[in-house]
Amino acid sequence: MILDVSMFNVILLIFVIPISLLFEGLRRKLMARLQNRIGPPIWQPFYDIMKLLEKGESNSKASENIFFRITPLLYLITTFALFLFVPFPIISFPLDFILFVYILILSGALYILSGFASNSPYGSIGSMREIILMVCYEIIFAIVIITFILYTNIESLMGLNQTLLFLKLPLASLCLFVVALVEMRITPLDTVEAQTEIMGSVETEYSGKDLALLEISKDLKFTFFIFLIATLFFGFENVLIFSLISLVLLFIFTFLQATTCRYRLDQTFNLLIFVLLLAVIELLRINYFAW
Amino acid sequence: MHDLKIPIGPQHPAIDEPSCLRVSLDGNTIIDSDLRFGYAHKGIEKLLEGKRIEQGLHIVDHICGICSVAHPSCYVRAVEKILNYEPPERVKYLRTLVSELGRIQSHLFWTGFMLHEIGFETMLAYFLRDREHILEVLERITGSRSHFAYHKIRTVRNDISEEDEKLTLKKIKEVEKQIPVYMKTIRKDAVIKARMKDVGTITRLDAENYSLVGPIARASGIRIDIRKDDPYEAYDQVDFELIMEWDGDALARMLVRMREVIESIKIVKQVLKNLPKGKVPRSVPLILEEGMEVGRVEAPRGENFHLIKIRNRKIDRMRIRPPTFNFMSIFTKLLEGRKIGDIPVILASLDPCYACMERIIVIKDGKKEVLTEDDFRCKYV
Repeated sequence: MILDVSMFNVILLIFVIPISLLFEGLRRKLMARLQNRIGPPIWQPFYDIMKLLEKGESNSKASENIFFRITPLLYLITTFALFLFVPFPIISFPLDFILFVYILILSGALYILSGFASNSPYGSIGSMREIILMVCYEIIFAIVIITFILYTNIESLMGLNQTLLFLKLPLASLCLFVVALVEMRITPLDTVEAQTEIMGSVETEYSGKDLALLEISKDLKFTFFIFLIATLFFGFENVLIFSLISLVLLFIFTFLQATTCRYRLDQTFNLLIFVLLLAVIELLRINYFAW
Repeated sequence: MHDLKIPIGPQHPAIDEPSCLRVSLDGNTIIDSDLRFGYAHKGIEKLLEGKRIEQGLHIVDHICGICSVAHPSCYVRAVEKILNYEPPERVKYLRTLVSELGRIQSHLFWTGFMLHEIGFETMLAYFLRDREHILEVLERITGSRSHFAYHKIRTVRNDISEEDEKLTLKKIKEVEKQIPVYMKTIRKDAVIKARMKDVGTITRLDAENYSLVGPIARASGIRIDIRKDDPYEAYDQVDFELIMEWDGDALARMLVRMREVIESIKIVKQVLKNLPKGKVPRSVPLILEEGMEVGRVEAPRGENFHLIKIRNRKIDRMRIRPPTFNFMSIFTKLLEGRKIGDIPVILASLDPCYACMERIIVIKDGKKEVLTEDDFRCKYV
């Protein structure tokens, strides 16, 4: 195992939470401008989190459950651990992408667990939806990562640093984009957290510090997928260019959220099955065919 | 996950007014549902008993915020029938103007809300922006943004000036400009189609059996509109089309309402063009010994019905039947066998207004009991 710790990596790891909160603020502001509103200030997520951290917790029946208390913290830790690999790997060893995919799935599983532990019908339904969709999209994610690894012919994520890979692997890139939409809860695929259908799904019963942890994890995941797509598609060469690409991606995602509405669960599932097919086709293409 | 029961309401983001829907689920499918009311009960009919006619008008005006043109209009129509009074032409035209503006703001608000239910927040913001133009006009004309209180017995609250006419035309044109863009979005967007096509379908036969009214019946292909069937105010003197669709699903209901907005804009333009010259009579106190009449008008949600019985100069009995009363009976039937994701779409597509509808609650020994009309008749008549 190589621990590649440069100054930049350490700075990024320390500041990844403020950066993701800033991204969330930017997203809200952009969304508001697209919707013809003034919108909250960019620092609003910081105020929200600070307010939530100061608050006490409500005493519900669910809080006797140990999972209800610890899952938000574990969810935050696992989501934070994803930044060990992206945008530039700190831990690096042969076949480390398996660990990478494993951590992502673990964080999803903890999210599901927190929903079931919350002892609320809305939480259960949210977790159930996440399970149904996870069966599809985590497989797609794993296949896409393996496709990228096989195509670039490397052992570790460390070497995965080529420019404009998305032109060489168009279908895999598209699949990754769709998975990112599901994970980032962006319409049309934000079925897991459909607010008007099942309230806040998993977050319904949480309050105070736990809710703050869940919110931070959500923002971290949002930032993680932006960084991942920027790294995989465009490579990591220059901090300035990388930030610019991230902001452009943020705008694209926000624009998509502002201009679409939500699919129902069964429709999302059918779409993901189709995307899974595309991912498999791409994998077969780079292995057995020379085009 | 077998047989999970979830409550939708009284507080839930999918419903704008309190009601409680308990849904039994088998996995993701609804197998049974139970709808309960009584959270917005104000005792309007009891309040009205023993009041003078002008006092009654004030109470009727506060039944609902969104249909606050339709209820006073209906009340005034019933009272004027007892008086056997025909208001001057200018008053008729002004009433029509405010009624149509009220319809436009209600429909715009509803369509935005419907799209918000399926996750289209941007459209909600845009529709609210356009509704703001109409509310500005209404504020200028009536002096209020909701609870307009414009209709008075034998007259209207105030006349409008030429400046008001100009402002109305200007604002109406701004709204008119946007409607085709929205229509195109609703007709073309694939996700809207996937969510709303063939959801909550009401067949023509069902619509007749449940005696549905208003845009919901018109979306199922029934020719019903009080403005055409039993013209009041100045509706017999303006030219407009009766909008109908044939599919009967949520998308058809949305299209009917959007097309009605265009027709209403047409009516407003005609009213402003042909507004007769003359004076609006002053509102004077009214003494009415006895009488009983019904009034009905086309509210934004359908036929609104008032029955007034006057005895000894006071209201003896008042019956209000708003359109929501007719179509809440079909709601639980529409939900059977659908998915959870369809609940907000079906509920919002019916456009319920509970504040208008809730009439009778009996509280006995601390237990609440909500009575239907039949139960009430069995017990107390």
